Amino acid sequence: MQFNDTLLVRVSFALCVAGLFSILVLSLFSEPKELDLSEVRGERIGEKILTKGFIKSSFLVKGVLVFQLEGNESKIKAVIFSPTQKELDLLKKGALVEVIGTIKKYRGELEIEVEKARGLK
Amino acid sequence: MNEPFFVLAGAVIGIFTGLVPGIHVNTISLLVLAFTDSGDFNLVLLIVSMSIVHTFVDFVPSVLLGAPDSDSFLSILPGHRYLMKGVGVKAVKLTVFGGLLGGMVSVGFIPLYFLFISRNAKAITFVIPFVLVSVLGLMVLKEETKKKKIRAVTVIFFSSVLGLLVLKNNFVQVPVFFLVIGFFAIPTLLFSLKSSKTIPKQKIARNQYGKGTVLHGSLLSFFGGAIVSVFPSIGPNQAAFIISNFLERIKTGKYLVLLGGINTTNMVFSFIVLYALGKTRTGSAAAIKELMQLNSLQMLLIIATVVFCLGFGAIATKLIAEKLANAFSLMNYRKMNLSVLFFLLLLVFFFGGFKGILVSLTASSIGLLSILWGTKRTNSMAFLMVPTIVYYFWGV
Repeated sequence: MQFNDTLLVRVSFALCVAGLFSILVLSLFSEPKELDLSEVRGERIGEKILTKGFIKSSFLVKGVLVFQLEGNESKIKAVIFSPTQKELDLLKKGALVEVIGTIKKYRGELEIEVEKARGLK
Repeated sequence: MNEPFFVLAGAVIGIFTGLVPGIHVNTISLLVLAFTDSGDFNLVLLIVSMSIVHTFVDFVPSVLLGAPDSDSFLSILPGHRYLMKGVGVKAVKLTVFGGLLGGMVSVGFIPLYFLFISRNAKAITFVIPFVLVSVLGLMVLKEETKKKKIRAVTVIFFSSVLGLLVLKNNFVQVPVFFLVIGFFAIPTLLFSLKSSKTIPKQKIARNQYGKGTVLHGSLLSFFGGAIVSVFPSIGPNQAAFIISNFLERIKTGKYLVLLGGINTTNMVFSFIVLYALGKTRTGSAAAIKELMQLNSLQMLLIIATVVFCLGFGAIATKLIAEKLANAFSLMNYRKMNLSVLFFLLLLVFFFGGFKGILVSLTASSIGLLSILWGTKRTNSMAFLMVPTIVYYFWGV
């Protein structure tokens, strides 16, 4: 093996590709920024976030699960379209949960469109 | 999926911080902390990519301009020798090879390194002050004559007192910035103003590098980086100094590979030390600690970012050195150094006001003493080492 400029460029290029590919793959599994419920504000509309709180109320309307998340003197409405049975079992009144979703505005009110939810003990 | 965007943005900022003398990644990291909310992992990736790319690019001004930062100042002398022979670009490429291969070896050894530091955390903490005292002693003993030994002790004493006064009393914000510029950048620039030399035309050729020079230098840099990342206040330059004391005389080419490798390897390992022990060994790691606590998936993303930036930093530095080498040789070296000096003083004033200027000029006078007396310039690093020793022995 000759140590010259060509080798330098080839190795560097291979690392660029390998690194970028790994970043893309790993970022699919990464979690978004964690926010306190009080930090969910209008200027964050469109942001994907992770937050947690207690469920104050929960009901199913036309295949959409709507629940109220509460914590640190703040509350926000959250929705899941076509929830699974597991989600219906988890997201019940009084449960402490962590949700990942996008902040949206619906009929003038902020809400979290939830993608993933998990129970916390 | 904003991660790749932040990684690329960080890499571009790393080129900027590497190229502009006096602008360090720590300065940008501080700005990131000041203007953003904590908890955003994308900012962590930005800091990681900026820091790794910076470790490559900062050899361009240090070799081609003689304007180093705290991590690359020892490269001035060997790099300058290459520059004056018209092969400054080759000197930069040797540091790039060191960074690239040293970085690759360090990424490969991350699991082993992680296990080692996690299992030996207590023992490492215990030996830190003793190792630092030994390094200081070695620095004095390695001076050639008795006269130089006494002068080295004097420089160490003055540097330590300044370090203790400035670092322990919150005299200024970001004190290390003013001290590094004062101890290393300003004296070098002042001295280069004395010289009427012009930079010869630089040869931009496809270089061949000795296998032994590159491989041995990179491997040594891996050990050097591991030393630096474990012991606070020992920088890449001291690690190169320690290694060169345990080996036969290291040739200039290998020394440049070694410096380039230690610089990058140290940065890579500082992220692992942060994850494993929660300790910060670089300004970048300290900024990340302020932003958030890392989980294992995020650590994997950081390693992937490092891999990308090793390649990106190497290609960018090679291209930039080739493009800029002759631009510098066409310029008036004296005027250029004068402009850099003026720019650095302006930065010091901007960030620290008159207090910053006072700290930098005091440090400069100690740095100048070191040059005039012909003692090793690493002696000035006592400004960081002695306050660290004091902290580990007496907790203050």
